[in-house]
Amino acid sequence: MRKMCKYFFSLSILLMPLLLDAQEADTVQASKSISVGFDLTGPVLYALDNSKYSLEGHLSYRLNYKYYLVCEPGYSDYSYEQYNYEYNSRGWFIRLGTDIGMLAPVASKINHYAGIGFRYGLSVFEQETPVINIRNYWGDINTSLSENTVHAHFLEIQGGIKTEVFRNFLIGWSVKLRTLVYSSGKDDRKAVYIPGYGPTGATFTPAVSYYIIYRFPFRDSSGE
Amino acid sequence: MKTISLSLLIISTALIISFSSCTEESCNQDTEVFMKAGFYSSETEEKISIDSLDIYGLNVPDSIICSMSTLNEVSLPLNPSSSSCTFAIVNGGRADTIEIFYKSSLEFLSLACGYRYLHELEEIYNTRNDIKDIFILNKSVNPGDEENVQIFF
Repeated sequence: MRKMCKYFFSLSILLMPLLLDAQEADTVQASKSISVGFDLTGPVLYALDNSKYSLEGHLSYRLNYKYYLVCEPGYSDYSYEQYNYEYNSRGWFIRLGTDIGMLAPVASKINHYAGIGFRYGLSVFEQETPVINIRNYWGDINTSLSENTVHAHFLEIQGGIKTEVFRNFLIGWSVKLRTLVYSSGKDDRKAVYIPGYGPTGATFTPAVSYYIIYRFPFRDSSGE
Repeated sequence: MKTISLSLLIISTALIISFSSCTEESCNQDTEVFMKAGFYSSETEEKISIDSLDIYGLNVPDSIICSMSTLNEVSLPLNPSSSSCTFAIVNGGRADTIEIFYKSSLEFLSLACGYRYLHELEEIYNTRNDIKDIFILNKSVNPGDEENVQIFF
């Protein structure tokens, strides 16, 4: 967590020039637009560690220069294995919420984004523990937990940036902090890994996304 | 803005790699729980130490839990793959057995530790050579320090 704070601090310094420039006079109207993209983090992590597979889309509707409605649907397949158990979870998730831009509505920045976002997340998934090995005084115990369906609800706060690198084509990232509100899995059926959320071990779960996005501006909007 | 984009690209790549390499953790929780039994005098009802005590599980080879020990309490491991288990308690040549009935359930601890069994005591039966009586104080066998059973000699 200390590392995360360092990252946030570094990122805020990085964002300072953008935010301090907010006094420019050439205020423009932001066009309404729909953006479609995906999170590159899942495939990259899968290339590094093939026990986690996650695909996540990013849809957003820009209301004005400041507010965006966001929908992030996805699918995740996770498996974990160590000396005393194996665990699998796979399922769908969706995160809904809003992004709040903090850049000034000036011509030089109107197609970029830097701000914070809030999400509610829902995950519905199957989990199973096909192998549990416990060794004690009486010998080795081999057991398993059959597949069961779990639904989980969580909240997320994030900070990030998206930059238009070509016309209507953006790249960007966000750093996220999630907290679990409710999970239907209890005791031995407690969720180990929730798709769209991550591991459940701590009160707050950090995450990072790296986005590639294409923006479809509305033709009747002005200000682009 | 291009400089910022490049910086962000580098930072986010570093973040992704650091996140992927920081997921390992070590297990520092108790992965096994024990039934805690205290020894008491049947005359004074005070806690007492028993000399030359041997305790072992029945039908378990090389199963000495304690040998020629002086103890005023003992932690006994229950068998999760059965609904009962039996221990022999030998006090200076006089042997008793205690048969414990219980229900076991799995609990998920953490990604690093995995699962452990908890137990709920139901009944205890004993022979009465040296042991006078046994009472269940606390049915939940969990990682706490609370005594589960009182054994009166």
